[in-house]
Amino acid sequence: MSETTATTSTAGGTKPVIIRTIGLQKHYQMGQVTTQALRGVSVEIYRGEFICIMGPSGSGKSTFFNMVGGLDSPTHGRVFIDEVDVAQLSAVELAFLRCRKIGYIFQQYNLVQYMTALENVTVPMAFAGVESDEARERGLALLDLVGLKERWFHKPIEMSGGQQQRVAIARSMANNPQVLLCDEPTGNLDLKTGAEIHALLKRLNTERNVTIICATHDHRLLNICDRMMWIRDGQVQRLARRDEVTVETGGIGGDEHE
Amino acid sequence: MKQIDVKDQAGLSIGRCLKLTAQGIRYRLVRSLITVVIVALAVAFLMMMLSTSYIDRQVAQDIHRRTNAQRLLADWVDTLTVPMNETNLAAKLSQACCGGAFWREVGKWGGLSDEQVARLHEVGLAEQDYERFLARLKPGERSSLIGSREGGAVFVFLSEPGRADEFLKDLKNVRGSFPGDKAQLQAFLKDFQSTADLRQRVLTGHAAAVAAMAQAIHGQKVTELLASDSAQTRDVLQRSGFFVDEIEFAVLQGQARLEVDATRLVGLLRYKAVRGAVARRESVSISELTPGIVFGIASSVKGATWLKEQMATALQENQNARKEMADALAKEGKTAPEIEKALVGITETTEPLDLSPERIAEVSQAELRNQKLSALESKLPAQDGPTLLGFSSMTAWLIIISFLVCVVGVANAMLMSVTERFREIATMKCLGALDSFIMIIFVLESSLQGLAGGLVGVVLGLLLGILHSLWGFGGLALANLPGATLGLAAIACLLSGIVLAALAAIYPAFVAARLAPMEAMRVE
Repeated sequence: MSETTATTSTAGGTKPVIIRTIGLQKHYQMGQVTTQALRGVSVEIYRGEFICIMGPSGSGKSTFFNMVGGLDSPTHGRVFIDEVDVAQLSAVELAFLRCRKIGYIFQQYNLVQYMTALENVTVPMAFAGVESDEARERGLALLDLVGLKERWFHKPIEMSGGQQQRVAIARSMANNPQVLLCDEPTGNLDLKTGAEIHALLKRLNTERNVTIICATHDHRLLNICDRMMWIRDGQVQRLARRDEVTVETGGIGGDEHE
Repeated sequence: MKQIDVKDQAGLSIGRCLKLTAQGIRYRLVRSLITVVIVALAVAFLMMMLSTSYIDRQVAQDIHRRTNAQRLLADWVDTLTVPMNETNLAAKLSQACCGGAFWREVGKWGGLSDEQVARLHEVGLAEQDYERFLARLKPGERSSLIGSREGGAVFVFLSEPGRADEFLKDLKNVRGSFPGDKAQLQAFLKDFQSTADLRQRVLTGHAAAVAAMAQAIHGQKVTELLASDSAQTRDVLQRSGFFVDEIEFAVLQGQARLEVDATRLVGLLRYKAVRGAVARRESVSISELTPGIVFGIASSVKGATWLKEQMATALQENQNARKEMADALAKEGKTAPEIEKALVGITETTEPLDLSPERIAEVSQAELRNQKLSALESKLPAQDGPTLLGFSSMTAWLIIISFLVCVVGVANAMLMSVTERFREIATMKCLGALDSFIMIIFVLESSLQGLAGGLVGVVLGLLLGILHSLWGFGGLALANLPGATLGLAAIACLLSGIVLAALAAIYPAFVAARLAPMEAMRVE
């Protein structure tokens, strides 16, 4: 089922693909036992779409996520990011890819504690070789985008969780990536703040046409995403557009808690 | 479909790395301080050892220079009064330079030609080499090779037929590098034997010269002779068969005069009245009086004048007492010779102290200085045994171990730092940091801490080293601070601190660089 749903649920198949996985498998060797985290996942993610990945813990969701983000390499199968085979890249090229093509947003924000908001946002720019004056300008613009321009000199410890996550989002956008990978972006936030973050992500998706891949447990995200994907036991259990799903909301809940 | 071109990620400039590192250090100040303190301790230890060793060496040279005149006089008194033995002669021959005073003396004593003296000199040099080798052996090794023989007897023993071969064979069981080979040893032994009668002639000649000297001065002390009128003294020396060059003689005479005057000054303590006065002035009992106390009083012109007054009083008292005694005896009807006879031994005869207070002060100061110097000389560390960079092997070991402990400590602190910063490092890698960047910031961080620790350690070690030397040698240590050498040592210590810290950080930095960027996703 998993290998066919990817194509069946696309609308027309004319949209450009930004991430394509073919028969993705990942095995972890733990002593004598081999754990199969992924058992052949083939998915196409289109440019500019907002896709949610759901699945219980241990489902292989994180593993898939790491593969797509160029953080880990598959045992079998291939990952193409913008038609580039990730497996073919050297460590230095991977760093280039992670720096400019992909933005990462973490559940625990992962801001560098000893840097101000602005410095945090400009770190990826420094890695990309942007001049510090230009970086400062762009960093301030990004902080403005997330609504924290006035607090650019604050350290993470002086900011609330929601504010930290917004700085992290500004940081992920530093080098105008094509893909944003969000790992439980609202997992540590209360409902109201979470909703603000959702709105911000949606805005980035529509205004800047950034592809957003979001691993989450938060059902409210389902209302704003374009497609959603369920992973279970290392396989794609279901992949559907939002308009196909809304009618079956009850069923989703059932799936989750099965 | 658009093809994105993936290039090599460029590295960050060192300036940027430094800035990032400095920020990190400021944030983790306490953790950084641990590394700084560890490096500071190791560097301070090295610096203290180095500075103490350099200052001591300089002080030793200074003391040696300042006591040169004393040594020269003692040598000359020996030469002029005691017949030399073979060992002395060999040592002196090896040191004597071609055509110098001793060279000429040897020629005269033994009636030798210049070539013969030159040959003796050569043999003496070789003999000293072998002697030095033998002196460095352990007692057991030495006795297995040559028994209990000493000096020239060793070479006489080795000259016996077959002994040299046996000696060389036994030599293999002994540590240390033997100077020269078999052929050289045999040539030396041959020379040694063939020059034996020359050496004997020199020794006999010297003994005769000593005897002539003794006769010429009629029981006068040699020091007094050297202190007296120079033309006459030189004449006496020359007639007895000794040569001394002008400059050396001037030094010799100055020192001899100093000692003669000092002896006279101390001689004041013979007089009861002076003894009493000095003891009262210094509030000590008479039995506790030492020459040092007299020099202490007399080292100022005022004290010297006071001492002269006491002397005059003592003289006066003495004369009064004698007069009274003589009068009393005269009343009893004794004749003049009888009175003279009775007076001897009852009261001391006195001679006036005809030195100016300035001279007394000068002599006292010089004597005090010499006393202090010889006391300090005994405190200097022995300069023998194998050394590494001028340290004894024990100290060298201690330094090496302290550095090893330092490396382990710094590596441990850095590893803990890496563990604490797993998330930060992984996030940096997600944001596009290269492995080399991670390596660089950790090594840089450690090096900066090493620099800070090195600076603190150098200052601390230098202070401790100077204090240590001050405690031992007082002002003499300050006067002998080898500035340039200490500066170089400071730079070397600082560098070693930085290198040490950088080396210790390599493994932790490697661990950090290998960290997978996925770690950033981990939720605790």
